[in-house]
Amino acid sequence: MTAAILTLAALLGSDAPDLDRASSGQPAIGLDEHVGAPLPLATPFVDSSGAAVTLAQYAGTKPIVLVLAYARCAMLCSVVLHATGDALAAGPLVPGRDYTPIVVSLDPRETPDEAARRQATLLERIGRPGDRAAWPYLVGTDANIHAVADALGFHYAWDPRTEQYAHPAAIFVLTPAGRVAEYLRGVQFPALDAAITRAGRGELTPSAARDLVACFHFDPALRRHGARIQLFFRLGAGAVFLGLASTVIGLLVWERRRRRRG
Amino acid sequence: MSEPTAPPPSFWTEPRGVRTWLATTDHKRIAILFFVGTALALMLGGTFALILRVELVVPDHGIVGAHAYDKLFTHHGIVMVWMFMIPAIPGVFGNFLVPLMIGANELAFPRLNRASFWVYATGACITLAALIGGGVDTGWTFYTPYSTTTPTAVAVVCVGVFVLGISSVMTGLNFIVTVHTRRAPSVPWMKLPLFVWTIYATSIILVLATPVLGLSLALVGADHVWHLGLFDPAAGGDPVLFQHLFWFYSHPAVYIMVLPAMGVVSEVVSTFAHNRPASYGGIVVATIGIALVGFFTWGHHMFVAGMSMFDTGMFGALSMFVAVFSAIKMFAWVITFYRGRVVLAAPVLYVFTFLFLFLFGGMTGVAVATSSLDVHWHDTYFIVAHFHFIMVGATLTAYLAALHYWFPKLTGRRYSEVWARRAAVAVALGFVGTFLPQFLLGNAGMPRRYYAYPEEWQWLHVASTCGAGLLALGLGTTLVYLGVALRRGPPSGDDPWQSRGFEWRTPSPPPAVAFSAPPVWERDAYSYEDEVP
Amino acid sequence: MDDLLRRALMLPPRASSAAAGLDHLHYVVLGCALAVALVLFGLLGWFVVRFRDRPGHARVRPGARSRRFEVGLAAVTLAVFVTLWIGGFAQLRAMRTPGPNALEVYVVAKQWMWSFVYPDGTAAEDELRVPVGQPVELLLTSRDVIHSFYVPAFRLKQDAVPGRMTSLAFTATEAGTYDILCAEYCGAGHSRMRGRVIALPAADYARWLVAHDAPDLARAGARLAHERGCLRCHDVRAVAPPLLGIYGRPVPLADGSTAIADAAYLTESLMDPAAKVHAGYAATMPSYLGQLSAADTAALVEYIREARP
Ligand code: HEM
Ligand SMILES: [Cu+2]
Ligand SMILES: [Cu+2]
Repeated sequence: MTAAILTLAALLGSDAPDLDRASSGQPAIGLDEHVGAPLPLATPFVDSSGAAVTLAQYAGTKPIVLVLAYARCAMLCSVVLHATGDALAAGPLVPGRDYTPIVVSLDPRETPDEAARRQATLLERIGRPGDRAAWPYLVGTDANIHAVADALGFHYAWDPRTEQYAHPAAIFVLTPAGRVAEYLRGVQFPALDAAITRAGRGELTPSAARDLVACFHFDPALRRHGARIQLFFRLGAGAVFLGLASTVIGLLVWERRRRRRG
Repeated sequence: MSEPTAPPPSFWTEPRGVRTWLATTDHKRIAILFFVGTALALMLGGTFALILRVELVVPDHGIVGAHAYDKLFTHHGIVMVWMFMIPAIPGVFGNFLVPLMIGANELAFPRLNRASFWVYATGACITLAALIGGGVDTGWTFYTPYSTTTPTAVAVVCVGVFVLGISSVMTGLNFIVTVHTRRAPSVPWMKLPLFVWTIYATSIILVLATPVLGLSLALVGADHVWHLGLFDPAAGGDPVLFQHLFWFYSHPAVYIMVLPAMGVVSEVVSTFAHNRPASYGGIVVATIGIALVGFFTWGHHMFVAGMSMFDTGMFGALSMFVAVFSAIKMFAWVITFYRGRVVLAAPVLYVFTFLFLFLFGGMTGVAVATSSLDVHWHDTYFIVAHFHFIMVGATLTAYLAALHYWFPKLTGRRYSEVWARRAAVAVALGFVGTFLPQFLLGNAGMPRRYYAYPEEWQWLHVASTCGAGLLALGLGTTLVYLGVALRRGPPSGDDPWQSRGFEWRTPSPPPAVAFSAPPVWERDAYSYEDEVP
Repeated sequence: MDDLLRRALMLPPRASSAAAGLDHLHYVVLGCALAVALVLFGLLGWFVVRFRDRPGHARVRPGARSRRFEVGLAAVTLAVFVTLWIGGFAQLRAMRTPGPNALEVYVVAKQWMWSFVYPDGTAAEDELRVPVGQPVELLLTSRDVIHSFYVPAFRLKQDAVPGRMTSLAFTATEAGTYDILCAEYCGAGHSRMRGRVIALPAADYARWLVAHDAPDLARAGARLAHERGCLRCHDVRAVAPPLLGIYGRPVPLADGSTAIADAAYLTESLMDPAAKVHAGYAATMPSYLGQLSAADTAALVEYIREARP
């Protein structure tokens, strides 16, 4: 039965060239689990107060909950961040004491200022307003963000059409030594506390599920080019109007002068 | 035949020399240049059409292959629409007659006029170069995303048509300013000959709509070259948006073609009925009404493209308003013959053909605008027949009527009336013979742009091709006897039709400078009342 | 008489519930055109003969213009045209409204063939089988350029536009085999992009379905829903509306209107989620345009239809 569907799908949709065309330009996004892989802890970042930091500063004694997201995301990032916050606030474990939650921004354009603003709402959500150390929010350069993401097997891409990052929705739990302990997929993390506890003991837990929720807004008809085409027509209309008006006025003046002379 | 007398000095001979023709700013000479250009385009487009028709005699693979066929119908459409029908009547008869009809010696901007011809020639050359060096296979409608992905010479053709569009805008602008600023004191607005009104209305459309076409084709060309994906859904574009942009120009464009044709018909009807047009005011209102409402009907080309019910309804209803304006004119022309003095001659025979094509073309337009019927007819031969009747047939028969009616004005000579009548009958039968079977093919469900078709439709295609042959014969004959008349026709006198039109109040052919002073015309262009005792 | 006219006008045999109405309106419009032509050309002929220039022709002064007459004539013409338009538009509305319990079939056009996917997962190429008498709704899209699905015997056509889903409703009334033609120029194979609709009596259709051993589409859909992570969001009330039991129910939209969660709505939600947003939820759903094949889409829609709480 399923086999029939698969043949059918192959028949209709997935035979390469056409689907490639339909999805051409759509970034390859995905999540390869590298459980046990060490994170490049020395990678420099900047925290929301503008101070230079590295991940190493947060590692060592406590497990880490790492979220890759960005402030300007129009889609799932805030859902993921809020869900993480709710899971953090709900359990008996206390951020900052029992473990360190960290946000690393995906967007190299993000400034410490923007980070501080986004951080403030997150801190409010977990009931620690103003306590920046409770949930650090880091920004960095494109290369550095990629270094961390690659170590995590987190494949994301900039989509110039939507001016958004396409990326998987998932968060990461790290051991105190900075190794990847567990991947939590989706937009709800009821098992977060248990995962932190396991990671604190240095356990590595590959996940059972392999599904993927993408945070990506493919922008169909009109949304994007519509505005550009409209602008093009506005400018074009303006240019035509100016061109015609100056032609008529110029020629009228010129003809009048010519007649007066001749 | 009497020995042809040496013609009196006229714009033909003053000044002499080829160089003076090429550099001319005289509206009459520019009209002749446009005549040469549009007549060549008509012959080229006609040749493409004949090849298409011969190919379709057999249900599959006749004389050309499928891809060549696709290019041929594309080339036929592009050449006929942008190189023949759009400039034909404004470029030739508008240029020649508008100044004579308003008592002016030249257009407002003679140099702009000269430029408009040479820009037309440049655009035509670019387009033809693209057609020869590879060709295009998109159809003249350039629908995306086919047009942005086909490997043929789309971008160059877009440039060519863009340049042709610039010429259109120049011509239109010139006419608008001319009608506003150059009317002699004895030609107030409501005494303007009806032909001038239609040229004025067409010019408004030319200036307002052509830039939209230019910009849209610029986008298609750019997309084709740089793969911007502007209309490609895989890249976030909307292919149907292009159709809206294209038809926003191309629906009004059908009125660019047909309004001047209507103007010709008004003039010819009045002259040959020796009667004032029934309802000058009604015709003027209808002319302006068509030009304005014509801007709001473009969606009727997209009834089955996934448009909402609301839009479908609105565009259908607005199309009906345009149809009413056309009907008003139709009534006025017929009633003009009432209590007239009807002289039957070649121009009026062409007008009868025009009226036939216009009525059935218009009523089939009403039929497709009912929207439900269009679901069956859209993109079939029915539509091909509809627009060939109303747009091509009307423009072509009016062009021929104008050519015969004003031939003495242009040349000072007469052509053979016997041959002219024969040709007029051949053109009428040929045209109807070509397209009547196509209405039936559309009913039967034959989609347009089909290279191969089921065998049971063959007899209709054969009939259509026979009609096309007769049409070609008629047009070829016309070329011959008019050519003969141009060299050897007997002198016609200044006003061979006893018309009251303003343009006939100057010598035929007119001298280089038609009026030494602004003319004082006491009676208007339709004053036949003195014939009535 | 009806049949005679139909043949004379070369109209193909009628095989859908829309065809007869369309043909009859066609006759009415044609009748109007002929009547107008008869009157106008009759008058023209009479004027030309009666007032032709000949020796002894004495001219009579034309009557005075009557504005009342002119405006009246225009008004009558407009009334006739508008009446035709009302008739046509009403007919179009009826044609476009799918009948109850319509069988939904996905149609994917590509250069130069038609593919069909049925709700039970059966797929076919260039051959669409439908039961006679049962309303059918086709959901069309294209994989490359624009095509147009045209069945002359049904008097129906609808463009298949890449990146969009369009729909076409019909009910076949006569068993038989009818041509499917592509009506929108789509390249060198345009005229050969033909298929067939085979309208079967209901019993034969049911037999064919069984014989065909249709794969279980809903199960495949359930699997896809897990694989694609749909349920990651749609399980959680706070993030996305639950899918169970949504099929066929009215959905309140963010703009205040309501939509029925039918196949067309669900397909649109998958391909262009921002177009109609469920009231009370943020527009966070990603688009699956180009990510899901037609077969996958059909499977997911079928899964949602079957899923009952
Ligand atoms: C009497 C009023 C008219 C009405 C109500 C009318 C209505 C329509 C409608 C609804 C269509 C779309 C059919 C389709 O694409 O399936 C159509 C197509 C067309 N009409 Fe008309 N029309 C009228 C007059 C004219 C005139 C005066 C012209 C030209 C001078 C014209 C030229 C065309 C052309 C070129 C097309 C088809 C273009 C294409 O598909 O390539 N129509 N007309
Ligand atoms: Cu139109
Ligand atoms: Cu096709």
